[in-house]
Amino acid sequence: MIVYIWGNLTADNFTPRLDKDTVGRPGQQPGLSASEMIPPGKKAQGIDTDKLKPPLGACPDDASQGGTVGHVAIAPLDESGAVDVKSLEAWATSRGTSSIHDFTQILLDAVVEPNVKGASK
Amino acid sequence: MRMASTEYYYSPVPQWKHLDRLAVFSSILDAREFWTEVHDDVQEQLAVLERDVRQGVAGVRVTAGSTRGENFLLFSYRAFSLPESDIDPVVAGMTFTRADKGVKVEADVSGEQTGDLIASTPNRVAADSRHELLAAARQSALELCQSATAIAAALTDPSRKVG
Repeated sequence: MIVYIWGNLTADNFTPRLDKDTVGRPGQQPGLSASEMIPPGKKAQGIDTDKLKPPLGACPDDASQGGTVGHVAIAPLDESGAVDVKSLEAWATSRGTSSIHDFTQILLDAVVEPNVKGASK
Repeated sequence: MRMASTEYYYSPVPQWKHLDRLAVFSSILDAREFWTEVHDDVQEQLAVLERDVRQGVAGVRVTAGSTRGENFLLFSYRAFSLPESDIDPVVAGMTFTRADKGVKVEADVSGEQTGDLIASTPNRVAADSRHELLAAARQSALELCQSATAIAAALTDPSRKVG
């Protein structure tokens, strides 16, 4: 499945934000947000979720529980397939530093459509 | 008289230093050192853009960086943001990807998280050579340097706030 991280290929944009991305919501797992669609005229990065290497995985929202259709959370998963919140938080703390976290690099390596644009209306 | 033969086995000694010297690069595109050179060259050009943005926006925070991935050779960028602001940072960046006949160079100015396009330059395809790639990168970087006013406006545009 191809999902899109909106925006640029910067290390920060490929790293979750502490609190905003490390806390789940009804129908939505914590993790870095990606979407099946791109807003018209905007730039995004296409990720092939099959190319994500462990422990990263993609968790689609459950719309019946209040999640958003087409939204996917990308996060480290434990052996049971649940989001590993401690690893997610550790990943998030690397945001804004000059170093590129291993999970950020896994995500960058899964980019199959760099700089794709949303179709204009 | 039969001579006894003895075989000796030694444990391998882990040694990772200088292994890069053993690599034989099939193309300049595979050489990490080359992309470091391209990144440094692009950043040298973008220093002019940073100077101009700083003149127009007091307190602007600027970070330079680069990323690489299996399907793109290099993304070299400068990100501009205002401290304690909810407005999406602005990224002036250049992406190098493999093309049918060389390397595609894409350069634009856009929102870091939203991807709104603020300025862009024509895509270029450079031949797989150091000289042509650096020339294309420099030309695109020069064009990005004309975007200081647009970056300053975007950094103070309240419609660009992100959640």
